[in-house]
Amino acid sequence: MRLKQTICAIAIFTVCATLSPMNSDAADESENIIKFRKNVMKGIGAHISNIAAVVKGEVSIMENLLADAQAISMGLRHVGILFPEGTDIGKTNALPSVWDNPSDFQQALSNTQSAAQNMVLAAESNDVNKIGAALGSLGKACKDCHKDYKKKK
Amino acid sequence: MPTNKPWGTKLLGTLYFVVWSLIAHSALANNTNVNPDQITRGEYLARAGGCISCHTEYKTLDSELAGGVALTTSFGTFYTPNITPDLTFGIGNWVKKDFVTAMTQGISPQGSHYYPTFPYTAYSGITGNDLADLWAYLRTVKPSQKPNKEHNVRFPISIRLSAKVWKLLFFSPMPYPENRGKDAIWNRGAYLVNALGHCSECHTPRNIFGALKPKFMFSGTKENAGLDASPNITPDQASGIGSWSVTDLDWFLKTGFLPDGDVTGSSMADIIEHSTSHLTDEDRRAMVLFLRALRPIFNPEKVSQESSRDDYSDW
Repeated sequence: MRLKQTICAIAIFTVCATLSPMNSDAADESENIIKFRKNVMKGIGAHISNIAAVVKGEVSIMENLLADAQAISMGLRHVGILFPEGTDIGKTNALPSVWDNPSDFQQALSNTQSAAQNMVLAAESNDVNKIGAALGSLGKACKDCHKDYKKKK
Repeated sequence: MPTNKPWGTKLLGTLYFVVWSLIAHSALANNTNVNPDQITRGEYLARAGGCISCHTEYKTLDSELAGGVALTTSFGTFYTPNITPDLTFGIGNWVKKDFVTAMTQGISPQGSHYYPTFPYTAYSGITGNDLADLWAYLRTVKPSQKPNKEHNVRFPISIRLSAKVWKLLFFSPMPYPENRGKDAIWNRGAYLVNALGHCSECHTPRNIFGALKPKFMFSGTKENAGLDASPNITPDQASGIGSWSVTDLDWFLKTGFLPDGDVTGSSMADIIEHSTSHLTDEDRRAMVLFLRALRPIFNPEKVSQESSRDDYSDW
């Protein structure tokens, strides 16, 4: 009887001991995905600032804005896969609504991706008015998503 | 030189006046004899004054100016009323004088006092002409039968008389003074920011009675109506927006883009979408130049918030 209990305890301990590093790895990865996600968002922001600088008339170099537009578009593709389950906890201001209403969230994201695609087309035209208009629509799409899915400061 | 008109002419004159008054009155009620330019100007002012953004619940259809938007404060939750011209649910039975009294003195046609969540503290500075234009526009809005929601506020604020006491302490209606030491653009900006835009209502800390602290105008606060903290919008380098250029601020009020390329999703996003993005470039720039000329105020509360931004405030 005593032996059975001991064996049982050892078995449970072993299982837990084996599993726990896996768990903490998963938690680590969630934290790392959150950091990754923030970098992607910051990157998108940086490319938007570049396009904005031209639209605002602060910078006149606009030969290669297509690079910024494409980077935004590619970045937003990334965003779609950077909110897996488990990345709602940690140093993030993403709201639970991201995971509670996944289809609404994906729709809002998809609207933003279309706006970014229009920005690529505008950048190809090299027409600053078209780029300005595309930037306005993109900003609106960004705002719609930030408003519903990101905690207010 | 007085003329001695025959009785018939006088009678005809009186009759003419009575008929004219009746026609004019009914025409006013049907909004047919109001100058269309006045209505356009009124709508512009309703955007500049934030009437449209605070009195419209954008998530429901046909809700323009029909109220119902919740304003959460430390005193409780206030709901904006229906200000469409519906006779039962809106302000359709008001006359222009009622509107002017409400806007500049915070008093309803029944004589009760409005809570200062309705920013008559700022609106009392709106010019008579602008009030007339606003009124003309409000008469043309589609009437909505949306019932008003009761405010849900705690005692003793729940007693309406508290609003009267508050006003005795903190409110004196006055037209917005022109500062002759400043140029026309500065004065226009001051009028847009202070009288119409009432920016300080959200961007200034309040005392325990909910009145703005005059020494800390525009320096931001965490204890804000609604859920968001509001940033310091004085040109302070450390805690305000001193590092923003004139173009950065203009661009933000036009598009919602922050200088780092982020887009605001705060309650300011609504103000930008429904108010500041609709202003003329000249008016928006006047607001920006006025804000840039403010005395920088250091607000330590905002520094700690900014410094934590990289860790917690992003996605």
